[in-house]
Amino acid sequence: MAEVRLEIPARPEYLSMVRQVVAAAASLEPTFRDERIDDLRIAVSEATTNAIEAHADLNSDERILISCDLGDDRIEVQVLDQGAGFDPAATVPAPDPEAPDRLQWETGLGIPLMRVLADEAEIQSRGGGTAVRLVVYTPAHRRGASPAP
Amino acid sequence: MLFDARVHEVGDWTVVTIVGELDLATVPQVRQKLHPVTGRNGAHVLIDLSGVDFMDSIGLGLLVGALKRVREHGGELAVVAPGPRVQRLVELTKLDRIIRFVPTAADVVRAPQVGEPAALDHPYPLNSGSGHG
Repeated sequence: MAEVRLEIPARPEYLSMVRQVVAAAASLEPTFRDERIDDLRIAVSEATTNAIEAHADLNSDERILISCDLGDDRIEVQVLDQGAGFDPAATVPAPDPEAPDRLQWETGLGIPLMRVLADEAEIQSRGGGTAVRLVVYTPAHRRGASPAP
Repeated sequence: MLFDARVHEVGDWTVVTIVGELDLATVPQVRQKLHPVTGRNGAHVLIDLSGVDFMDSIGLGLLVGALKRVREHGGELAVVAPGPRVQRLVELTKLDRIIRFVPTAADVVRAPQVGEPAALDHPYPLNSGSGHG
């Protein structure tokens, strides 16, 4: 398994570079379609955005760690921050578009998008920070996937 | 990284053209330009994302905020977003149910007629007729 690691200042101007590196790593696997790489780019952008904002909330100078592992059947990206942490189960997604108060919500789409765009999206968070793990599987793995016994 | 956000007037419409990536790094610049535009009474605002090659939920939030502000001031908002990446986000979040997406700017923006003042700069390619890819 090949690994690429990035350690970035928690600043928005680094987002684009993170997306580029992850997309470049994913493109090393020839069977990933461009659309799946685009999905991963968005999911990683969401996770890294949340990490940057978590550090900003604490006025923290600590860096954010992004690791990108390219395996035989998957690409796995982890985004680690040292923010205040949160309860993923308690996050409230933006309401449905038709909801009367939908326009009051300019946020609340990031985590739902991560969960939809990645094959696996796992968030572990506690007081010392948050770890987001995003996995996108190769088409061959997805074709061969079968329900667990 | 190439990024640009410009505001220009075409007929009754104020067109905000964005080029580049729309994320946490660039949305504040766009918001700064959009704010006075969306706060005008009865404004017709077109946000053109034809040149946007990446957008995430921060960009979607920008659109929702613009719609809210335009509606509060009795105006109208339309968005041009022909790119497949932005389209996918819109479909996933179903925001096309509340935001008016149009295929091209020419679908809503009327070109100034003879005798009317022309746009001050960056005239819009209303007569291209071929859309934006």
